[in-house]
Amino acid sequence: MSEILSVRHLSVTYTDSTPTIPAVNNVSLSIHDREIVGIAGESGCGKSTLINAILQLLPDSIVDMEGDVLLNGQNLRTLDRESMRRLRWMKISLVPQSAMNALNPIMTIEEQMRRIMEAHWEAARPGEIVARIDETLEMVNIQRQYKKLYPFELSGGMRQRVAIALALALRPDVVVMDEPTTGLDVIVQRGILMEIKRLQKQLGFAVCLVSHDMSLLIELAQTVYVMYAGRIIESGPSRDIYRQGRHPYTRGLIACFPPLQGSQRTVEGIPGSPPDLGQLPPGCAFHPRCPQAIPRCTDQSPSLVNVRPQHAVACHLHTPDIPSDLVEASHDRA
Amino acid sequence: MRYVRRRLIFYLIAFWTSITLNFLIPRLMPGNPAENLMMRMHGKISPYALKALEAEFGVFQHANLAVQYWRYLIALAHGNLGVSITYFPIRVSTVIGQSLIWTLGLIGTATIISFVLGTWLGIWVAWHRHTAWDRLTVPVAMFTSAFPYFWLALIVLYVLGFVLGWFPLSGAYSNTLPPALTLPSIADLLYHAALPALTIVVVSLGGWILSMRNNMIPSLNEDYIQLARAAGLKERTIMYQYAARNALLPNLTGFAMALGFIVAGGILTEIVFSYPGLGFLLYQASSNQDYPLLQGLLLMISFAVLLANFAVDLLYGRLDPRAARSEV
Ligand SMILES: Nc1ncnc2c1ncn2[C@@H]1O[C@H](COP(=O)(O)OP(=O)(O)OP(=O)(O)O)[C@@H](O)[C@H]1O
Ligand SMILES: [Mg+2]
Repeated sequence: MSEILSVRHLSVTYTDSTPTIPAVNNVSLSIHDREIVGIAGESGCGKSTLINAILQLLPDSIVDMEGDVLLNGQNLRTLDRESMRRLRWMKISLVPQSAMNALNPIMTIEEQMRRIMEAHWEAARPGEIVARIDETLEMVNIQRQYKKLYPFELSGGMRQRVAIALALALRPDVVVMDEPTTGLDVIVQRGILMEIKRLQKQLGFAVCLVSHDMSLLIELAQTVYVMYAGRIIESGPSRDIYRQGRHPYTRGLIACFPPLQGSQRTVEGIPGSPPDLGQLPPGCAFHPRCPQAIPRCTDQSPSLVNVRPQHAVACHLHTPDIPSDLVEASHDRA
Repeated sequence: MRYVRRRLIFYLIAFWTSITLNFLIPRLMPGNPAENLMMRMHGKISPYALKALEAEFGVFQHANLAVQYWRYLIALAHGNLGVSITYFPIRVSTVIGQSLIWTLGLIGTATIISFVLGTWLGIWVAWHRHTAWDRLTVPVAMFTSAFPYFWLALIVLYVLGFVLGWFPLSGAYSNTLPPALTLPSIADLLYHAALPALTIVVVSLGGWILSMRNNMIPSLNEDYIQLARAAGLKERTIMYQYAARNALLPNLTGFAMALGFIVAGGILTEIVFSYPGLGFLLYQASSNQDYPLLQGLLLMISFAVLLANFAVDLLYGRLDPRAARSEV
């Protein structure tokens, strides 16, 4: 499996507010060919900011950015505007958060798809575009005649499917999905996610799937990154994260959402609420909510270290240089 | 089609209502102003004119209201609005017809220029909202749209017309050059229209810029604009087809009002520049207590307002599918 998308030490700070908000802090991740990668985290932890930064959608006027985003080895941050525009949707596309509202209210589904295709397939004949529109809508189970309708004439679930069809129209290598099913009822959500999985197998694109629903990510993704207050605090194969997630926050997230299949567990939420990114506590940002915090958590920020070849965690409890009896002691207290 | 039919029925009812009010008001007003007028006119105008006025306002008439109403509708259907007192014995319809073209030409053109230019500038500055252009445009637009019109028009006329003598002081054309479809005559018409048109555009442009800009800015943050960007659509397409097309919709109502007021809205302009349009006529009619002419003009104004609103409703139905389809 070769690496398609690589994010290296990416930091994003919103400069349009006081205090400035460091919404993404030194994030690195990579996505391989035909892989589904999940990004988990509570509301406000910077997931959308990370995605918009990857897609180069944040204007310089409101953010400061550092780090690199490599797509097939090409650094998107140094690309000029027109080359970036041409590459959009052909190589990397987006199903936005609230995909329900992401359609232009005064254009038919067909016109919206056609305009996107025309922006990239400059030499295409109209027939080819129509054929591709029909084919793509069919793939997401939207009947052909619905393409003449306007978004307000479709149900929420159908609009969601249309947003997915839009993202797949040009058969990109990577599709980024920012909570693609928020606002839908659970049954529809599930249906759509299974469809994404099927399409991903059929067309062979890679997916970067953002969600706050940990159990869903574990089920769908091969690799999961857990984000807290703008940082990655744990990452690894989803199986390992599920069975042996190390960070107290990760375990809290898994406990929050019982898995869709399998035995029912008690739902034990994470106490407290996510921090204000403008005023992060010193040390580990999670320590005020952490049931196992030890003294160093309040003044030293833990860095991400591997606990196994693919599995990394940023937590003092799992940093090798802590005497293990201290860890045990803190476990006992919890 | 259903949408068009419904709007049409609505406007026909509204028009019928205004016609009927136009008939009823002079007849129902306490102390009948028309009767008073008639008394004052005795001896001043010819008995023939007096007879015409009597018939028109139902003064000293023995026919009942229903019959009078029926006669009034018949007359109206024939375009007969009575006879003007000021321009006796010319018919009101003729007097209005002669002025209408000047008003439509001057105020109409200026209104449309102002709307199109202002909307376009509003789109443009909203798109460049983080640049100096936007920071410059907003206060300037606020300043110009807060100008008292009458004062501006007088200053412009005084400086550019009187002191510098660059533009004519009054009228729609030179007396030596009656309007015709020849090049010198057209140039002369434009020359006379330039100053009044300029003052209208200057005063109304800022409002269009600001309202379009203020509609555009929230629409630029809409999810579908973000998606269009992510999808790599060309800037022009996003700006006009996605952002502006949506942002224009709320502005159309304002445009309908402006179009409707073309007929009446030129009063100040036409007075200051002595331009022979409907506004000037309205001013004359009211200072001469020329009731037939006033009534004809008011009917004309309400007709124009309704017609403009109907036209914009049709346009709205075309531009916003939600308007047309939700009204089932
Ligand atoms: N334009 C902006 N200017 C300033 N701060 C912003 C801006 N956009 C987002 N933020 C802040 O950045 C932080 C991260 O926001 P972001 O939308 O990335 O979170 P998220 O993880 O996607 O949350 P959610 O699950 O609710 O979508 C939040 O604290 C938010 O207030
Ligand atoms: Mg988000």
